[in-house]
Amino acid sequence: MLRTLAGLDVLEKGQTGEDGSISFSGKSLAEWKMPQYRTRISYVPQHPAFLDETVEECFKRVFTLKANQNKFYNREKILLWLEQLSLPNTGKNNSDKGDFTELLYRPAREISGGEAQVVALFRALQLDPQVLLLDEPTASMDTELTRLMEDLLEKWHKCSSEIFPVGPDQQTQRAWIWVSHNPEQLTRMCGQTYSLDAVDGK
Amino acid sequence: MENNYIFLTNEQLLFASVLMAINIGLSIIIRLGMAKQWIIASLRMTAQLLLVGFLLDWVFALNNPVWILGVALFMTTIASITAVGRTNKRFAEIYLSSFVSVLGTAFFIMFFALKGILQIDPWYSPQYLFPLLGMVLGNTIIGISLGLDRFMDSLSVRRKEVEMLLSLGATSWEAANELIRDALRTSLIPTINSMLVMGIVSLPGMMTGQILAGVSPGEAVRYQIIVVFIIAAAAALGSTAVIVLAFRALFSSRHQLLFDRLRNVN
Repeated sequence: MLRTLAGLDVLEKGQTGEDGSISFSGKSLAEWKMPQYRTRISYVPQHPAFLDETVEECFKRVFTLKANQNKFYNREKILLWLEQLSLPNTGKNNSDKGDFTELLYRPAREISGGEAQVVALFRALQLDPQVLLLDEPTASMDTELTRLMEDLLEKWHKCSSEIFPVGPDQQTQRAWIWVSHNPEQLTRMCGQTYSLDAVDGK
Repeated sequence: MENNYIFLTNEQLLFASVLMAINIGLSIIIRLGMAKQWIIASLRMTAQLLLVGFLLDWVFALNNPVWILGVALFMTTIASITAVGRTNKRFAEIYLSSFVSVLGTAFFIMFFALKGILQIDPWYSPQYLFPLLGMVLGNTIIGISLGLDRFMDSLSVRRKEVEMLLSLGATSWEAANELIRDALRTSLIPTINSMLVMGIVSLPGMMTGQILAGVSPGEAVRYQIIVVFIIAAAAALGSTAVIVLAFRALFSSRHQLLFDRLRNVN
């Protein structure tokens, strides 16, 4: 479902032939240019993919795309976000900035599952999306990191000014669709929950 | 020019086939299990070539553009089907994509070569058209099958990367760009390799043939140089065309990867 909302999968007709439709900001999906749409509605898969490059190059690559040409990579912002989390590899002392920059220089394909989810989330957040489509975003993170990430996303949602400053063209209305198998997390993080425990959740 | 040309008799052909005893004997002695295949392959090869010789003699004698181009089109069609035959994955329009690429390439390159470089009149003169077309098609389909196979393969292996780029706002072209370039590079490796060692490691068949027919080596290499340029350009053009067509078939105008369109063979 998230893939369809992100426009990656074609919206199929239901079994009984009824039509579904997606619209965002008053425009139907068909009226949106997909690259623009996808920078507003950002899909973060559970198992993120990276090219064969360092974490920082992954962050930068996003800005080489035509749809993002008016935005620029901001290393300070990424480091600020990373500081909010005490990543397992960065040890106990999470005030040590050096440890965070070290993550940026590591090959993206060799970082741990939890780190990969952090990087993928930040990669999406860089683009100031309005809606995040999150598929089990903390599934590979330990309890502590999960809490920290939830807090950070909470700040993003509330547009907390020091960590997520509201830019000129940035929207102040933010939302996410959060898919999780953890009901407690959903109660913490979501206003409305829908459970798809039917046959296969189609 | 033809003063020292030896016309081969049937007896000589038969005598040459004795060499296959080596292959068959070897297969029996060390149990390769290829003896039957060698016999079938030898018979098929001989029959196919005799038939082609007969057919070409006939078309040469007719010297009728409709027939000449008809046979050329037939060769092109077979070539485009063969190119697809070696791929491990398929999509609905793959044969059409291959045909359009091979035909477009062959037509453009052959016209350029016959009319522009060799200045044959009429340009469809069978003595020049068929040998050159054969070489152009042979090289084009190597490029096409390698490029197609590589592109479809990397789409399935690197699907997550492609969709990651799409989710971050990439156009389908931006998301597939790296795969397209990689496929094109793969498809052209044999062409550039053979060009690099041309004349040192390999003495090309056409040149050897001309020398056997009595043409001086210095003259024969001049033809060979032209032919190498022609077939290299054909491989580049054909591979590019087929990869772009495959890209268009496998991505929607809504910048979606239509992964379901890719099917594995068998």
